Amino acid sequence: MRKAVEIKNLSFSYSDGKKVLDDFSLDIHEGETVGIIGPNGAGKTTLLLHLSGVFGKDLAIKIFDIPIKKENLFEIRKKIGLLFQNPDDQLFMITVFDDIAFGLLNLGLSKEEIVHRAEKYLEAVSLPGYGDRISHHLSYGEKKRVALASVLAMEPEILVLDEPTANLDPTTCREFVDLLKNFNHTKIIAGHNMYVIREICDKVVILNKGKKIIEGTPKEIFDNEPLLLQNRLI
Amino acid sequence: MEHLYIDKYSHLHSFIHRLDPRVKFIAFLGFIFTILSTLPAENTKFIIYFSIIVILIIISRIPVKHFIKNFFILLPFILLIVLSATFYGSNVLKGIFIKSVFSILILTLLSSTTKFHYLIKALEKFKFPKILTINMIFMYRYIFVFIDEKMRKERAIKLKYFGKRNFLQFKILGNIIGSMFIGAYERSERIYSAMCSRLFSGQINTIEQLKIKNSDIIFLISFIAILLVVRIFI
Repeated sequence: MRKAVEIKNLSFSYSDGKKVLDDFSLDIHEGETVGIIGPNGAGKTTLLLHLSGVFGKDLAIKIFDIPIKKENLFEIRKKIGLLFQNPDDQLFMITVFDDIAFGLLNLGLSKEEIVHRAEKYLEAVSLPGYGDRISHHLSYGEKKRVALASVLAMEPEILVLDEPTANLDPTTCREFVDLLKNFNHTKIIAGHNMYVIREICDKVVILNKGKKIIEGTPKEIFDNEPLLLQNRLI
Repeated sequence: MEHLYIDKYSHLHSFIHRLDPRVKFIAFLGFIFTILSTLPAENTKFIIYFSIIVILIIISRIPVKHFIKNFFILLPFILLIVLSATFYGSNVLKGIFIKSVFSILILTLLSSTTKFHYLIKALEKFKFPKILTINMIFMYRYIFVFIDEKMRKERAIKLKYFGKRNFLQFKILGNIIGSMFIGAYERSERIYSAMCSRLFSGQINTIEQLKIKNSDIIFLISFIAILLVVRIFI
């Protein structure tokens, strides 16, 4: 199976000098669902932003063998669908339809194809007919679903989800997990919800203070109580 | 949280609501220019203009209290303009006052019968500068997120304020405004990342969703004809 994501010795510090990622390496194969867990401030969100080339050139990362360079960003962002933790950061247009259409217009699709995909993916997230709704009027759970639809509509090969179930009530969380299970994309999920990670992921990585602590199957990781305690995960 | 939306009544169904936003824009702006170009002494014309406004308000089915509320919100600005022109004589004052009130009523009618995003699309169609329409989109999308944040901060102050050392409150208020600015800046960074991850390259495009019908053309021609008749022949 080909490598979807290859990260080799990635280190990163913000401009204030704080080191967020320290010599981090990880391979993710096509079709895999990988969970990244770690305490607050471990570097999970920064790692996910790196995958989408938000920090620009990053030769330590390859997406389907394409290194993250300025000239490759369009190709890479076509392959990576990034779902942000807070849907208010992701839904920046006034209506749901305009938000879904935003990325599709940038892809250069025709109006008919954009309308078709908007309807298709709103249906996929169980929100048919929501196109004309104002984003601010939606509930938090609905905003999350619309944000997911806006990402799915781009038909990426890899879904990168930052705390996808944060702030959702138990039922909405359950529905969201069921929804994610339906998609066959390669998935990278960062989060604190151990139930979700255990339920969806094939592989789990513990990240702490920017370093990869361990990589293993959900059973190996979640059955190791001392390890979870040591990394502030229980 | 409850907010005061400028297009609060845009979901109602009436002939005015169904008109194409571009047609409404031309007709209502034409109406305002006609009013502005009328001499203050031409009382009969002003009575006819007022009758037209009343008829449009009745057709629109929007509660009159909404217009009164909007009028009182903008009254201080009208009074400021009127006061600045006191030395021109009572006739000019009367003219400025009436014209301002009528213009506010017409603009309230336009904004209340048209969904905000359609209004923006109409402006885009009229080649309004893109930078302004984009700013309006973001302002409409995020002003309520910002107001919600302000309300949460106010609540936090109330919980910790015990009614003494009033002078100190200004310092706290300054800190809160500062933290809101920083919060807004950080949010803008996250929004920009979300835009980039959906292939943003400096240009925000939206899909044309407006369609002019025969009834729109008939309304526009008849309305302009009425305005011309009143303006020229009465």
